[in-house]
Amino acid sequence: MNDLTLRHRLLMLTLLPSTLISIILVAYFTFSGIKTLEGELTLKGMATVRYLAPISEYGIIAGQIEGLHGLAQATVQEPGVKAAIIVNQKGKTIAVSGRVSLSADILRQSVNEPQKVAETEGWIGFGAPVRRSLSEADVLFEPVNGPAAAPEVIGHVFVEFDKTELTNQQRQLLHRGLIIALVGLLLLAALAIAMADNLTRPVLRLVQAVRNMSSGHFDARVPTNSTGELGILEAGFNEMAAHIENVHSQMQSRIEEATAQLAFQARHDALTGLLNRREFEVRLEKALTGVQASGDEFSVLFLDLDRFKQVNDTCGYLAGDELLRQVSHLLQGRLRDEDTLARLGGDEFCVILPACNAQRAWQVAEDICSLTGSYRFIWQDKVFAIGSSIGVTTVNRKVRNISEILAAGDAACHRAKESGRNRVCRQDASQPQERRQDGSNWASRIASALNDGRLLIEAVPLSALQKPPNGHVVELTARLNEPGQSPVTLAALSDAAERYDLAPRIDQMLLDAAFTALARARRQRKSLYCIVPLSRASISSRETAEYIGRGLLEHRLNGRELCLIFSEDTLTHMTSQAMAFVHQVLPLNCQVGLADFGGGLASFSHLRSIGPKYVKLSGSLTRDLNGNRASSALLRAIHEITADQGIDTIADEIEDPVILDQLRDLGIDYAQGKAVAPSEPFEVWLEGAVLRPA
Amino acid sequence: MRAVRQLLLFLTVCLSSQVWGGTVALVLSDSGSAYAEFSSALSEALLGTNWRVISTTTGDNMPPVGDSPNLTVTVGSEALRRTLARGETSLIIATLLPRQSYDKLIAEHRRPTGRITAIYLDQPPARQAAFLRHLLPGNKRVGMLVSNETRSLATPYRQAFNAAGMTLDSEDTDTGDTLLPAINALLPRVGALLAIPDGTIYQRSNIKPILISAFRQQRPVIAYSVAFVNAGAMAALHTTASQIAQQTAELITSNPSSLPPPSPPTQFSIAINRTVAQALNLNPPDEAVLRRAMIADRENR
Repeated sequence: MNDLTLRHRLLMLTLLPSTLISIILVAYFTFSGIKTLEGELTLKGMATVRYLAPISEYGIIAGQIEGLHGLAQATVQEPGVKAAIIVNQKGKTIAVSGRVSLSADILRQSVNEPQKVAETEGWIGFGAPVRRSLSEADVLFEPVNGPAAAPEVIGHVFVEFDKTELTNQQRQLLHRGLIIALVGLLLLAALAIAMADNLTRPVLRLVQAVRNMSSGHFDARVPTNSTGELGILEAGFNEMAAHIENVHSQMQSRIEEATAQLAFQARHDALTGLLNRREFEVRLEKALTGVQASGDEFSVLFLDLDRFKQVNDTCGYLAGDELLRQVSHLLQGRLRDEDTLARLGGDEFCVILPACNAQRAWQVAEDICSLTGSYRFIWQDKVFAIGSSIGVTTVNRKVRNISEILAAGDAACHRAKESGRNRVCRQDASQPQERRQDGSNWASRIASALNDGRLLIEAVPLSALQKPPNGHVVELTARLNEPGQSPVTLAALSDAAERYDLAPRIDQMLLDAAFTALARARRQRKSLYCIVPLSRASISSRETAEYIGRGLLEHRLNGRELCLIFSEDTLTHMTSQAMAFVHQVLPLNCQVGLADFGGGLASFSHLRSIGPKYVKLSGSLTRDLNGNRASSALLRAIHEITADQGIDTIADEIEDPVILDQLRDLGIDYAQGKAVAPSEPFEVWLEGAVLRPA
Repeated sequence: MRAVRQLLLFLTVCLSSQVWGGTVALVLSDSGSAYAEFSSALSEALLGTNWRVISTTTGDNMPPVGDSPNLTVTVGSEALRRTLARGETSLIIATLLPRQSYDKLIAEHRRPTGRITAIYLDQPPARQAAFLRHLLPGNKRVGMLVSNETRSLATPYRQAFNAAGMTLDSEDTDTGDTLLPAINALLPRVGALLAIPDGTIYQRSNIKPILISAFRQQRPVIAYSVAFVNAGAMAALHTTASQIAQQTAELITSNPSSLPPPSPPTQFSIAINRTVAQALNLNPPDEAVLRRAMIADRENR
């Protein structure tokens, strides 16, 4: 039942009841017709004997046999009458006509009222009593004691009817009924089929359309030629289909858009819009394949921004992001169209310079280096000097895979960063290189170096240029010594140390060394003045001043022999913390110095706000002093201002004795660097230079 | 003449009522219309006399003791039978019954003569003869069926018809089986069939075959009751219940101490079935004309 189609159900629904009803109706009317015919025959028979009986009365009474024969014959003349028999009171037949089938027993039996006496397939017999009729008589003449006599039965009449006619009529009726039923059913079936088809055709079309839709043919439509609910369904389906098609196409286009966007995002850096690392590697692979095929050369620059973390820490990541964007624009403006610029992550950029030899690549790298070095990033009221450490590697057909290129470039960049930032280093990809320590290892490297004592404290002695030396002045610094590695300076370490919160420990180590040295020098009655550089983190921490106070107290030292020096950048970007630190350490009699002085624009305003004892001049001021009038004028101006405020000036990293002289001429108070004395381990220097018995 | 007779009758009634008087107990066969008619007619006729009807019963119940009537009038055969059966001691006038029944009951219950009398329904033979003569003037032969009950009457009838210038032919029949052969034998010989009250022949179940047989042979049946005429007889000479009551009242008021012998009705009526007459192509005279002719006949003799 449940797996029937709609058409079958409709057919069943219409045909089954109507067939049943029509069969029942036809059967009912046919059989009632047959019954009626039988009833009619019975009635006719009864009527015949009922009439025949009284008119036979006189004949029987009078014994008029001829008259009775006449009656019997007249009766037989009636249609359907087969035989008529009149018997007397004793059951003796006195008149007969026709072919008699009734048995003698039946003829002898007494019948009290008109009734059917016998019936067979072919005939039916009726009988009725002939009664003596009673006349109304005058009661007055009734005999005394006369019995109220019942009408006397004086004989019987029997009539036989032929059933052939009846049977024929019944058969005819049955045939007619069957034919009517058959024709009616055929008509009904035809009508039902037509109706079912008419109804199911649009439904089937809808079904087909739905199938098409579900199999992805969204352009499937149905013809809307039906009326009524089906018409509404068809129109509704078409509307729905159109809507779905529309939505589908919109969605398709959106998906394509999104896919394109995803594809773009997969290949590009969201922040800067430059290619990302993955796409860069793909391009690099392609370029490498091209080089291996053609034999040309191309170069790759690995660029790492200097002081990016400083911007991020000071002004938040929004500033860092903005810096990255600006640098991206800056680099893009300087590169050719065919060059590929990518941001590998963080502050690392890469440039593929196609068809570019080592020499040309070096020039480009230098160009970019000076570009970034002179670039100033301005965020709110703060100005940052940025720089970039660039590794250059040239690729030729000897290079086997891009890993070599990446490793070489990374190593070169790292070397540039370690060698003091804002410079270019070079590494050939085809040559095996020493494995570069991964940046992410800095934390463990520094930590283990601190624990194992592999962080050596070095002394950078200062030479007084203007007045005879009154004791020893030394700046403490540190150097990371690892087996099989070249030593790493504190300047190179500081970024990583700051990032992993290890800078305060290094600072404490330096301070401890200074306290010990000062204590020992006092016990030997030697004059020693220590300059200890402090990191940004130490400056911003209140515990640093407390640590210094505790150290001085512990070693029973006067703070006057200790100068705490920090970068002018720190003061610029963390002014309030730096001021707080200065106010904390001044009561301890410690002195304060500014390093990298003159590199920023606000240098002079700092002198008044914190009143330092020393300023350490920025390397950019003293590096190209030789023959540079502008630099010497600037140094002279600084000297005038500092001298006026009783501040001593220090020039560092002086390697040329000529410059030393020039500095002396300019009035610079102290100098350090190879031209003064090479840096050496602090202990060695302390023993040798300070504690040596006079 | 008639007026004189009526005056005489009236005077007799008035005189006797003054001399005689008494109570009458009326016994009806049942409460049918003829008996009721008789009862009311009798009561009416006795008004103004010294006779009064003290009870009217159907004879089943005994009349109140100690107040026995001077005279008992039975109406119908059944009333007489019951009255005789319960041993009524007073004088009895039996009315409204055929002679045959009276004779039969009297034979069963012996009563001294003078203590009981009757007024029959049966018409006297002379009157019948006169009636037939006027009714069917051209007919001289009249047939009559007789049984054991009525065979004795055949002779008076024959004499009366002879006197009237007609011939009476008769045929005997005692059973139903012989009836139709008898009638079929008789009818061809006569011009009309005269039926007289006979319980053996004229039963309810026989009347129709008799009438049909007569009709088939185109012979009119002259009967004795209105019911017979309605059933198909052409005419009947009869006396109504009122007429009998009238006669009874006369008898009561005349001389009740010694009753006369049974007598036929003094008055009569005539009934004619015109439809039957037409069917037989007969055109009998009007009832009133017949009646006048018969009365004139009697006075002339």
